[in-house]
Amino acid sequence: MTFWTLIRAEACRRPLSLILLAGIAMLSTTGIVLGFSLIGHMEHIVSTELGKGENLQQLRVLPAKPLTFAGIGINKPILAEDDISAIRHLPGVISSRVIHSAPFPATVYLNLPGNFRVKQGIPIYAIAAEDVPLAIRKQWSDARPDETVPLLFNPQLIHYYNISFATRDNIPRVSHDIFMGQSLDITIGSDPYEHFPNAFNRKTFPISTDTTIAPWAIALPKQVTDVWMAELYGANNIPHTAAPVQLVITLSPSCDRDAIIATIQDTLGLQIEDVHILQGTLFRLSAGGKAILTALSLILFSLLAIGGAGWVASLIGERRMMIGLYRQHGAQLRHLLCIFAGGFMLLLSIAGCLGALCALLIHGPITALILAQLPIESTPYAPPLHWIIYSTALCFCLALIATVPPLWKAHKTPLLELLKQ
Amino acid sequence: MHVSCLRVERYCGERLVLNNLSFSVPTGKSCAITGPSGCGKSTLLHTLAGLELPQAGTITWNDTSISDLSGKKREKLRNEYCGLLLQEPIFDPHRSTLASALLPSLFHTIPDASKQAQELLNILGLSEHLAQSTASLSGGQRIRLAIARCLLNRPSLIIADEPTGSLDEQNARATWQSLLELTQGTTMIVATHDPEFAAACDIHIPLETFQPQRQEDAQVVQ
Repeated sequence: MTFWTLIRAEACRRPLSLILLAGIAMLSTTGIVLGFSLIGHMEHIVSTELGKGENLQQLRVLPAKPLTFAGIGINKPILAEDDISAIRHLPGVISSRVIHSAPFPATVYLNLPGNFRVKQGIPIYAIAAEDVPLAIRKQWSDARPDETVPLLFNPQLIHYYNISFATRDNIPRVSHDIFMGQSLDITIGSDPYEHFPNAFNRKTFPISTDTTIAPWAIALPKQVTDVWMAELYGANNIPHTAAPVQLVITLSPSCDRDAIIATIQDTLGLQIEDVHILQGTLFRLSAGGKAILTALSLILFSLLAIGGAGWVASLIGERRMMIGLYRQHGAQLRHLLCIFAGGFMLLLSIAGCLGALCALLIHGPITALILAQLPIESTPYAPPLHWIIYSTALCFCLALIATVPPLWKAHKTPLLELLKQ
Repeated sequence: MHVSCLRVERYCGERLVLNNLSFSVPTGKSCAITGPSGCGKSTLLHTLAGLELPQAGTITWNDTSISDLSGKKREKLRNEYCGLLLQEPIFDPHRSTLASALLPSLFHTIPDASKQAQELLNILGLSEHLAQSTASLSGGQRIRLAIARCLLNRPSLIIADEPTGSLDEQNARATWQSLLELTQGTTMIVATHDPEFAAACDIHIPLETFQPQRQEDAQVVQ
């Protein structure tokens, strides 16, 4: 029998309460690290962009307006270095941040159930003219810009379970199939099990702007994509995984905002998505938030300590005779601490570590969500390491503080009293 | 371990149980304390073990007066040198016989503890029950297991409170014979009702002779 066996055996007499306490410790640590991380992030913004708490404006600059083709907006989704540099040097721009992301050259609006209309980015690919059926080539060349025309789907990217959409009545139907209990006008995709006799590889299918399902890829006339393909894709036709797709600039309060917007839109031909006001109250909020969070974390950890003390006291109450037995055979206070509090403290420390790790993993999206930023925006702030160490150490110390008093009491009880049956 | 008890007085409530009691047990000798129930055998053993303090008098282990030591030092000394055998030993019912015998090894440094424990259990006739839960052992087996557990860290002094009290005659005899064999060279003080066991010990202290109504002066037995 090893000492660890004894620790495990004693701790496992109340596994549920122990797991509950560990869970609370983990959640508390996550919440506290996240909270302080958020405050730290706000302070970072305040110190880098808000100066002394003045209200500032942020502009989000996007590439040029898309060319509408067959209901699908197609644009060059990458900001040129020259444009970025020009904007940065405009008078009144006090800071800027380039957001790198996967460039989606084509966008389509999807109508989702519940009257939601969302914008979906889709990759495009080019095909040689001779691969396009003559009838389609004619339609492409004759179609007006706003007219629905047939598009070629990349067969490698199509599966019947991920592309299935209805079309308008004037578009010829390819097949009628039942998919997932829904009757679809058209089903598109490969059919490895040959369940759909009318399917589809390398066929030409029309696409409607009224689709509810996002296509994964579309083919466009080569002359449309020729201009951008070299920039969008590398030498081996591998798409860029990250490229400068947005520029966020912060303007000084005294600058001529309209002049800057006009320069960006009219001279450079770029888009401005929104104007975001950064309020100086963030500065005050961060100080107040820190005080509230500190108080909240103290309450949380105190509750945890009380819970831990209760758990150990209750365990000791049940195991008085065993403590007597251990003491009869030479157990000292440190042994009792190891046996009755060791597992608890170890578990709480691990829970603290996991909680901090969890906070580290989710702090990016959570911070972006709370601060109304896009998740793709790379944040220059991460929870400082010392917060993670503090939180874990705090969990351990509280477990120690919580468990020592009941064990000290048991240790001080006369041995004969403990051994009474 | 030389144990001596000099002019010890001990009350239980208002009743004087040990009155002006003096005796000593030299190193390596066994001592049987006999007497009717309630005469103070257990109280004397607890006082000798330092679990209770005498109201008057001195208990010494070798040259150390344990009754003058602080509780912490007394416990440390007891942990180091003294093995306690209770009338009804306590075991964790969820542990095996071997694991229970190995308990002292968790708190003391005992070289080859597992091997020694197995040897002791073998001598005490428990080798076939090593993996068996202590809950399934008979009364005699439990006493023998308690003896093995008590002897594992080779204490210099063994204080046993009627270890065979709850056993039938045959089991009791086998148990005390094993105890005497295994503790040869070790100071042992045992409370017992068994006259045969008491006779087998080097020293016999019939406690009723020290009762206050019969004896007013100190008695020294050696």
